[in-house]
Amino acid sequence: MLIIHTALHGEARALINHFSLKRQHDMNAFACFRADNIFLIESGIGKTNTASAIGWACGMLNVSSPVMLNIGMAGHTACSIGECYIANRIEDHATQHRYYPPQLVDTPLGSDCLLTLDRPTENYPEKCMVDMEASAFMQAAIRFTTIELCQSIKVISDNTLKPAGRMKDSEVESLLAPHTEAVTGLASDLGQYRAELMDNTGATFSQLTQQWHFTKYQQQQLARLLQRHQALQPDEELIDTIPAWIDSGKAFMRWLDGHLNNLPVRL
Amino acid sequence: MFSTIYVEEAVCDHPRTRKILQHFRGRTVIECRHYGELLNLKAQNFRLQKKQPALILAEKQGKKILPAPAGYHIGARHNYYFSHMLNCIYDCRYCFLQGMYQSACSVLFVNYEDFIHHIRQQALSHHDEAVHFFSGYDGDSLALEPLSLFAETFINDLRNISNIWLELRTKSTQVRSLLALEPWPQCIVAFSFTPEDISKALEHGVPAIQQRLNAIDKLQQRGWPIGLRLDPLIDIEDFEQQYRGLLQQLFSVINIDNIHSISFGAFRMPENFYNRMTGLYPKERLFAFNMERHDGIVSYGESREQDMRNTMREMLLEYVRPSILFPCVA
Repeated sequence: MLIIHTALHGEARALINHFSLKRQHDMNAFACFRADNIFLIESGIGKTNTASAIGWACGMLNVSSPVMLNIGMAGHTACSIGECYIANRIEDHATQHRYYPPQLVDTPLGSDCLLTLDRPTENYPEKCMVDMEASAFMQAAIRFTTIELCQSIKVISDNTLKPAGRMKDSEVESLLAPHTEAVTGLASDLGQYRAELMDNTGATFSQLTQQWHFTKYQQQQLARLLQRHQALQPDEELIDTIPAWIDSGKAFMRWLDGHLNNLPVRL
Repeated sequence: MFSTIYVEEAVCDHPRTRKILQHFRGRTVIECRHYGELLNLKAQNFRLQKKQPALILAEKQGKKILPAPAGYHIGARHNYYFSHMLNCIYDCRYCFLQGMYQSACSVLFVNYEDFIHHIRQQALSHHDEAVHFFSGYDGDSLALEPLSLFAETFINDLRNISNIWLELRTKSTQVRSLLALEPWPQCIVAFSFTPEDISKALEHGVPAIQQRLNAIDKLQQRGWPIGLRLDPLIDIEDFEQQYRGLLQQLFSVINIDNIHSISFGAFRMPENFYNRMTGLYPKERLFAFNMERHDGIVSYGESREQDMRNTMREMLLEYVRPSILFPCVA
């Protein structure tokens, strides 16, 4: 699952088109767009809007360790309009709290520090981008996923030569559109990392918990037993090997634990 | 080796920082306030970060040396360890560092002089009694030597203190700086080994046994004392055969007269570390076999551990005298 956050519709348009996302008209709290495993949410400007949107989206989607991207515009004292960077350090100006999203993916995008402000400014700080959402995005996002899968990507929209001003959606879209390929490449690579974290014993778990009753505590034990089975007998279809005499979840777990404990220890 | 370098603001202008950064021209360098900002964040994944580890150059504050864990020694009454590095560039699946740290970033403390000062003070406090200082508990002692010059610096500054013994624990082959130094009889270069099959399955990124033996051979020819660390012993189906093969391999190269000490101990882990490691690698076979949990420790169980240690001791006694054997029971 990929969750994309933007503040403005103009920042989302290129991605909506690229991924053929469809507006979710039954979702009224925020403008949301979706296709398969991609969910895009437009929060509105600022930290409060951002944190609300991320919390709402992640709570509603309830997926494990999603890839989460914050995509938008930023100002910079010297960088040229249209340049795109991935944020390698995000600092909240008000709290001075910092986040360091690990840079695990080889990407054509450069990287730079990012300072999140509460209000727009034309006094750009030295050597970093400025925006109004990223720190809140990170703060909220890492409650739902691991920081490696959270990244903030910014396109320079204003600098000392061309200070921030009101921009049309189409102008914003034209700044972001050239970087769509880099963004999708990043999302795809992060998606592969996410896949490594996913537990693929879910189908067997569901089958067994439908067949027999397991308490919550037993369900935790069952999940670990299934992982152990997959590690030690990756080619064995567990369901097919369950002896006919087993008549309860408890009996099944005792049998599987014994079965695994008797396997020769080979690495 | 490192795609991203973080530098604490306090050590940005430290001469050692500047020298180390010369090895990373063109890499992204990011300033941070304190290495804990990166290392201690809960919502991060050690396993993912191992794919592209980062290096943090930092200043070690507070205590620089600590008493060694009870039960760990190689012959001295006074034993301390210190960590100029946190985390390791290698990726050994049995390593407790995976359970101890949230992040896979390697931290290199650049204020060597502070460590050296504390080591001197501690040694002086024990007057003429031998004091052993162990390095390599929280990270490999030599793996980053070409850029850190850790061993070279510490050896040059400590060798004139008669009661200091230094252990450099490693799986690395980075011994060039040691070969260029005059050997110090009180510095033990201690290499960790597991049998070939186990190493291939569990020690990711670690030089092959033969490469490590080549490094040992160069060191012993130069006159450096060698340590062997068969820790952790991993229980496998053909345990005795595997470890017998390893010993044959080791002693075909290592001159037993050059061996200062051999320590060995079974794989065991604090339960909270073990649980975290299992969560990181749920499909890892090492964690899928039956383990005993007792008093917050996960282990093969007292009886099996004893068997493993006895077997290992008997096999080692075919090669070496008992006085250099040190079973780890901590």
